[in-house]
This record gives sequence, C-alpha cells and structure tokens, in this order.
Amino acid sequence: MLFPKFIVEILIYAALVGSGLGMVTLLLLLFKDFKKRRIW
Amino acid sequence: MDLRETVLDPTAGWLLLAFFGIAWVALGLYWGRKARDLEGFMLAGRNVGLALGAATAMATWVTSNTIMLAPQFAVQMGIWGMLAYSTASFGLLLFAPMALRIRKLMPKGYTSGDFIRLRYGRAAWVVFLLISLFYSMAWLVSMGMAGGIVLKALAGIPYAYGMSAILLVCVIYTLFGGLYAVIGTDFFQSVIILIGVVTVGAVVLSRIDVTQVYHDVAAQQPTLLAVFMPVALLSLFNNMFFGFGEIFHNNVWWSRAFAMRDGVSYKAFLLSGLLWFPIPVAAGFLGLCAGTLGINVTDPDMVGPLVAGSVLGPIGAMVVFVVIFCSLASSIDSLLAATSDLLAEDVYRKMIAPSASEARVRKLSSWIIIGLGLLTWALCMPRLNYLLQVLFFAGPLVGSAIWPVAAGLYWKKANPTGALWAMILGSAVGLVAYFQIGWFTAALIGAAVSAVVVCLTTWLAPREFDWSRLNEVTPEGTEGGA
Repeated sequence: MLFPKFIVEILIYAALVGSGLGMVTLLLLLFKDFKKRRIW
Repeated sequence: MDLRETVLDPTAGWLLLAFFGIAWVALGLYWGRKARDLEGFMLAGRNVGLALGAATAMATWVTSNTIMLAPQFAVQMGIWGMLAYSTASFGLLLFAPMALRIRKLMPKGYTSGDFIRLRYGRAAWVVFLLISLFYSMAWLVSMGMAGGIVLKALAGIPYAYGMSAILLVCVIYTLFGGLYAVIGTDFFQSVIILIGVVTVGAVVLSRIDVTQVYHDVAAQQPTLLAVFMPVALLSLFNNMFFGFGEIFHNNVWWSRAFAMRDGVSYKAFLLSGLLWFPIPVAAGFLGLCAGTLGINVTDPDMVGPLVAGSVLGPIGAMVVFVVIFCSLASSIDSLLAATSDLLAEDVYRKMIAPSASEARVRKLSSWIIIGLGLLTWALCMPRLNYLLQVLFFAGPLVGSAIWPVAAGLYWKKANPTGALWAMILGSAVGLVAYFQIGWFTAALIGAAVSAVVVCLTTWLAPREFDWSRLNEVTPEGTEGGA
C-alpha cells in the first residue's frame, strides 16, 4: 500500500511553510528581545 | 545530469567562503568583548534570551548531514526516510523540560560532566567523560571532513584548503568570543539556513508539479512511497534514540541550558525542535524530485545539491554552498566551545588542579580550543573515509547514556552503580548489534539495555539522593540557590 498523494503533498507544503514560519518567528523574537533589551 | 554541470566556479566558492568567513570572525570578535570572565566565555553570562537561545539550538542541530543526508534518506527510504531524519528533532523537544530542571537543580553548573559527577560519583563520571569526548571528537572530525568534501564537490575547492579554511574560521571566532560568539553567529546562520531551505524548495515547487513527482516515484520506485517499510521504520526509531542520546548527554546542549536566562530554556528548546522538524522533509523533497528531473543518482549524498543546481542553476549551487557552510560552522563552533569546557572544567579543574583560579581556567580554555582545532585538522587531513563512519559507531555509546541522564534528573532513587553499568553494558551490547545486525539497530539496542540495567538495579537497590547536592559551591566560593 502506498501513501496517498494528498498526504505527500501536505507533508511537503507543510514542511516548506513551517520552515518559512520558523524563520519569521526567529526574526520577530529577536526584534522583541531587542526592544526590551533582553537579547543577552 | 552530471555534477560538473551544476557546481560553482571555484572563484565564486572562494569568494563566498572569504565573505562569510570574515563576517563570522568579525561578529565573533565584536561579541567576544563581553567574554571577559570564565562565566562569560563558557556560558555567555548565563543571560541568553529566547531568540538567540532557540536559534542556537536549532542551528547547532542542523549539520551538513541534515542538508546532504536527508535527500539521500528520501532517495533510499522514501517518505519514511525523510520522517526518520525529522525524528532527530524529538531530542530537542524532550530536552526542553530537562533544560528547565537542569537550571533549577544546578543554577551554578558548568557542564554535563558536573551533573554526572555529583549525581553518580567518580567512576560513572569517568565513563561518561570518555563516551562524551569520543562522541564530540567523532562529530568534530566528521564535520571537518564533510566540509572539505562538500566544498570540493560543490565548488572545486581542494579538500585540504576547504577543510582547513572552515576549521580556521570557527577556531578563530570561538577562541576570541567564546559562547557569546558561538550563539551570536548561530542566530544569523539559522536564519540563512531557513531562508536557503525555503527558497530552494519554493523554486523547485514552482517548476515541478508534485503530482508528477508522485506519479514518477510510484512508477519507478513504488517502495519509496510504501506505507509499510520495515528498514525505514527501524531506522526511524534508531535515529530518534540516537538523537535522544546525542542531545541528553552532550555538553553542547547542557552548556546552552546553563547559558539561557531563567524561564527561557524550556521555550527555547521547544521552539528549536519545532523549527528543526520540517527541515529534513523540505530538504528530502529534493531527493524525490531527482527521477522527474531525469537526474541519474550515482552519488546519493549529492542528490540535494544536484537537484538544486539543475533547477536553479549556479544560483541554486550558491545557495546550497552557503547553507552548508552555515550548517557546518554552527555545529563546529558549538563543539569546539562545549568540548573545551568539558576538558577545562571536568578534566583540568575537577581532576588535575582543583584550586585553579577562574582566570587560569579561562586562559586554558583558549589553549584547548586551539588544540582541539589542530587535532581535528590533523585527523581530517589524510581524508580517511572510515572516520566518517565513526560518528555512527558512537550511536550505541550515546544511546546508553540516555537513561542514566534522564533517571538522574528525575528519579530520586536511581542507583549510581546501575547508571555506571548501564553505560558500560549498553555501549557493549549496542556495539555488538552494530557489527552483527546493522547500524540501524545499534543505538536502539544500546538504549534498551541501558534502560533495563537502570530500572533493574534501582528496583533491586534503590538509593535516596539529596537534590541539593547538585547545587555545588564552586571553587571561587560562589553558591546559587535552587
């Protein structure tokens, strides 16, 4: 039995969107820490 | 398609190497101004915030293997292969509550060795240090060699020059900036890695139809899409337990737990695990596209760069080059810093010279970083390919450390002698499995034997432990409150 196509599609799109969101999250967190002078 | 069609021009490779090398060294020197005392150098002043904390954990765990081996896993084990690689992120997720507890129990701790020594005594500490130092050196050497090999494959930079340049850059900024430099550069490296992965994936998706990829794989290699694939499922669990062992025991992660500000470590490790999870799938997808693009895969670990190069041309090769350089640097710098801490703090200060001042240990740490860099360089130079396999060989060793660490943190009655024998027997039986059954079972079996020994000895002979003993008074006479 093979994985259905929609599962494979969801997996790949979710991985790319997840990585993109991760990048944005890191930048937003840095901005927030910077504003509160809590980077270090 | 031949690899030579997609590689970078060596001049472009050297320029990228020089640009990023100078940038990391400059940033390292800038942040290094803060690393004046031992706590600053080893633990970035114990005040790292959430953004840098999450980024450093994620970037350190993204190695060149993640970028190169995830597509290879997809080519060889399909969907389960990509997911198997992603399970390495579970180690970061599970370490989140452990990091919180580590900070609480050891507010003035320095290394993972400190914990084992205080919790289980000297014999277990020595065995633990041997396992940890062996694993750290294996990881360092595999990263150094991978750097040389990948730079040669992608840009035609001679192996010895590429490997030496990467090591030199990492040694310089770690030497001057300590953990401040390591964590600061890790942030930029993690953002660059994520940008690279998303960019390459998005462009490939815009040029290739996933439906077509699915039908091509189903027609040419249907097993890659199989729901039930025993070898891949075994490798999934093995990879997961290998990841647990690597993260639970290694000082790379403990030093970050000690370095993060109160209340940050739990969120930072949780976030880093969530950020890491999709990366092997996004990179692995490139491997599945090889058939649709008509790429003949003769060298499976180069399939990712080949696909990126064939779809994006020289720009794709450049992006892959930068992502791999960042992945290598973010792991090598962390290993240099954390291994130097273990040698300076555990071996020198705790075994050889207990009365040594912090200034003396700080100075010695710098010399150890130089020594580690030179030793790694000397081991990488002859390019002995079997050394690349040594990291997998370490799987059962680190797998056997999972339960002694976890039980030591949470189980008040965990038996110290049991912890010692769990590491010894888990390593021994795991190594037998490595040679007799296969690499994909070694960490799993090592961890299972270790679990049985820890549970059995504690059940037969429970020992009460006073948690306050972990809050050790340092030789300088400073004591924290748990």
